[in-house]
Amino acid sequence: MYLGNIEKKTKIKIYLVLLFFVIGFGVVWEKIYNIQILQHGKFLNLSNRQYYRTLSPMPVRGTIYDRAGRELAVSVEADSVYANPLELDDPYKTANIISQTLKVDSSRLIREFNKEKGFIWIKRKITPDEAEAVESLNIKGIGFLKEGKRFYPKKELAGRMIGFVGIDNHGLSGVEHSYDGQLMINPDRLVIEKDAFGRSINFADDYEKSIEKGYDLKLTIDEVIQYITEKELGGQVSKYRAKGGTAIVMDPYTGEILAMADQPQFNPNSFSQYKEREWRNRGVTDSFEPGSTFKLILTAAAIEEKIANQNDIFFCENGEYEIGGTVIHEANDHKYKLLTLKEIVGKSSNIGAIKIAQRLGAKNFYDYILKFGIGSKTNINLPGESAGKVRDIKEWSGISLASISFGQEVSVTPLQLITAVSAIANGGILMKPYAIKAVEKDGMAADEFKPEVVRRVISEKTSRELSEILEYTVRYGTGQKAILAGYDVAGKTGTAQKASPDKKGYSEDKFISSFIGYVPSRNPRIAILVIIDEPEGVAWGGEVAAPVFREIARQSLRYLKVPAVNGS
Amino acid sequence: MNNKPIFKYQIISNFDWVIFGLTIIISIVGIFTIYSTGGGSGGEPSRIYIKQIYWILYGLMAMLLILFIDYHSLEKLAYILYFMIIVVLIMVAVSGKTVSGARRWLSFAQFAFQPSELAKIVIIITLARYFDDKKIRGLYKIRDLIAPAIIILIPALLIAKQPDLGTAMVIFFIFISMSFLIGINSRSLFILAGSAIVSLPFLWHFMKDYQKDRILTLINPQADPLGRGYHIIQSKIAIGSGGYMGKGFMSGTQSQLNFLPEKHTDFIFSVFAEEMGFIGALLLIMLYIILIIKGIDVVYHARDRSGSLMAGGVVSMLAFHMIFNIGMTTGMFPVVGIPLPLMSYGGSYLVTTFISIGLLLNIKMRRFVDMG
Repeated sequence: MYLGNIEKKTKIKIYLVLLFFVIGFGVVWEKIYNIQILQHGKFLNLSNRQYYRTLSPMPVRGTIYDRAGRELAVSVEADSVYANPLELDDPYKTANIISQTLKVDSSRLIREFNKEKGFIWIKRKITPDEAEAVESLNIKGIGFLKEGKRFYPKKELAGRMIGFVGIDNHGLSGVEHSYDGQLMINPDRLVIEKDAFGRSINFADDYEKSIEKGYDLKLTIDEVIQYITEKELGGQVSKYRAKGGTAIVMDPYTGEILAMADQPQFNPNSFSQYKEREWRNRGVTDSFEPGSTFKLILTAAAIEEKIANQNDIFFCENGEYEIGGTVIHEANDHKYKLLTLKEIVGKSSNIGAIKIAQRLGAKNFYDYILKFGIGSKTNINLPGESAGKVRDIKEWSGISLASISFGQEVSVTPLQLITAVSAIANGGILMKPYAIKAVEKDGMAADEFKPEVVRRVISEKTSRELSEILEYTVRYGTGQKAILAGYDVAGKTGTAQKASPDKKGYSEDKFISSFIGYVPSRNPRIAILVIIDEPEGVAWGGEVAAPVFREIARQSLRYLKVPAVNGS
Repeated sequence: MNNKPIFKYQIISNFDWVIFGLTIIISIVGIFTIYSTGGGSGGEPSRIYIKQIYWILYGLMAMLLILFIDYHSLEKLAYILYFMIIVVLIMVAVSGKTVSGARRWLSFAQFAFQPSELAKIVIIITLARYFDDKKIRGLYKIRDLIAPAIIILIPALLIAKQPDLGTAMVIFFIFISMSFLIGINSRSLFILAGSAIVSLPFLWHFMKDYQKDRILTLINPQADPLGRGYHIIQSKIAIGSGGYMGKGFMSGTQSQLNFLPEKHTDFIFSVFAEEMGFIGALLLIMLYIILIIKGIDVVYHARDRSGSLMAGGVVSMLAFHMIFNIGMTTGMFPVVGIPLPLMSYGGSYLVTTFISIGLLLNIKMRRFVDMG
């Protein structure tokens, strides 16, 4: 009854239906083959991309300490907000709300929220208040991660030397920049297994584990000396309404920088409030015409070359000396006749310096300038070091020797100058200055920096003689404001006219006042350079900079427990 | 027939163990696949695979119940069943439970049921009855199809309105394939196909925005990868990343980690294909094809025209679900919520599938029996 009952046409139709289905299955099967086999690689890649979401968590930066282990830069935890765009119900609305709450660009958020990504940062390292505000919004797909945020507990202290880090936690200036690779160990980009909600499996565990603290940095800076230096420098800068100031304290025997201050102050905690040029650590990055302090180099060369000793007499032309058509005068229109070499330095006679230079000869002078490290970088490991400018001797004009003898036509960085003077102070050896004592991990030194001799520049005997001259300068000459009860001070003032903006000649009313010296002069513990940029009213280095030197020296020596000798 | 025993020996001997066995095997594969998806959903382990086991047991009971009722009796009851299902669908429209924007559910006590699923079987029986009643010599013409068209249109529109576009589409497909089986002239077939195409813009108008989106998405899923295209892209990533051998049971990252939406219902195939690979998918499709061939065998060997038609409707429905669902997961068809028979999680559909396969078995069993 069954088969025969069905017409032949019906049989065909049933087969047609079956054929239709088989074709249907075939087409579907072909599609699966296409996706699963032919395009397997592509889809596997896509799968892995959302499955393994690479997230590079912020490694915690190491701590920066001063030489005594006091914290100068630390890492504290801060919340960072992220979004999982795949999980957001309403990206546009969320973008608007979040952008208002966190003050971020809403168009960027909308753009990011529409990406085929499961993880995007909204804002890094937000304040606790912001975190609370976002948390109270309670939006699905918005989450927090803890990240290390840099904090400088001493605020402005050594701010420019330490530098700061950007939002990505990388150092942008100072030692934060030059030691970025040590302070922050970049782990391999961490692979975290993620689900569709952007949660990783054992997320917190993975995250915590992945954070490896970087190496700590021990600076040569002494927090106390740094503080003294900044305080005294800052006081004088504001007293004289100066444009700024720089001071460096160095251990003359080792080249360690004990303090490096720059005015106006810079607080790395709020670096973004400063202009980019204010980030510079000018003791290293900026060069200036040193003026009279440069006579030290000249005198050192003259004595070392046995051209003169401190008691040799030079005729100072009654205060007017013509060289190559230019008439040179003394400062304050002094009209010196005969001065000993010691007096030339002590009274800071320009004409006397020219006379010494002429006797020394350009070639000799030039060689000593270079030997003292002027014109070349010290290669201290701080970013942006300038080499200063010493014109090649072949380019010297008829007046060059004269100008350079009292510190014009040459520019030096404060660091170069104090390094050179340290060589005079320590018995004649030029040391390589340094700012980092050690790179440490868990209190153990991974890398230690020792004093490095660059070269001997002058003999010990010359050094001693120079110290006598500089003692004389402080005691009887221009540096009397640097006299310090209980200690013999060796020092030299400098008052340099600033070059005019039009680059022709020198400004009449803009000066750089400086004082450089070391104390105690016979066995110096510290060499100090003080530079005041454009003080108002009084310009003399002996007036403006010397007292700063004295105060830094006085307080530092007491702090360093350097015994005072009676009867100075 | 009241004086006859319910089951004659031949009836039992003609029980199609292959169809039954395939049904059970695929259901078990389904349980495991659902189990595999259960881990990552919303954090805590989901127990939906247990529920699925219960639904399968209910389905088996319903299947057994259907076996006891001669399909001719169902045929006789067709119009009453039809009337009842229309009433129920209206009830759904009026006071049904709304789940994620669609009013498809009717709750009895603890249970929530989708009458639209059951409606498909009722429509198959009703159409079989109608065509059995209106036997004509030769081929049916288009005007002969007006009445059956109305029969399906009333529930189809009610269902489409819920909205449940997928089920409405299935109903149309059942109608077309049953009409084809009963024999319509080629002109009518063209008109039928033509009217289906003409009705597309009308259907478009009928659709909610999200349904329109799904169609648009099919054309270009990358246009909005995180929104409307997300389902399709994630599904394709799941299937595609599975490769030949798959990622292994419970190791599908797409599904385990919730990238794949609706992974235990409409996208169960993606999970299976991701974890079992091309080989697994091929085997599963082979099982389905065997099931369909066995179904066609029932159509072919049915004792009478109504049995053959009913079986034809059931087989068409099952095949449409299988092909359309897999096509949907691979991005060939729009995402309209057509579940995969015996695999997708969901009580109403699972029980309906068991009933429909029960109907096939019913027809097959009684092919030699003289009903007097």
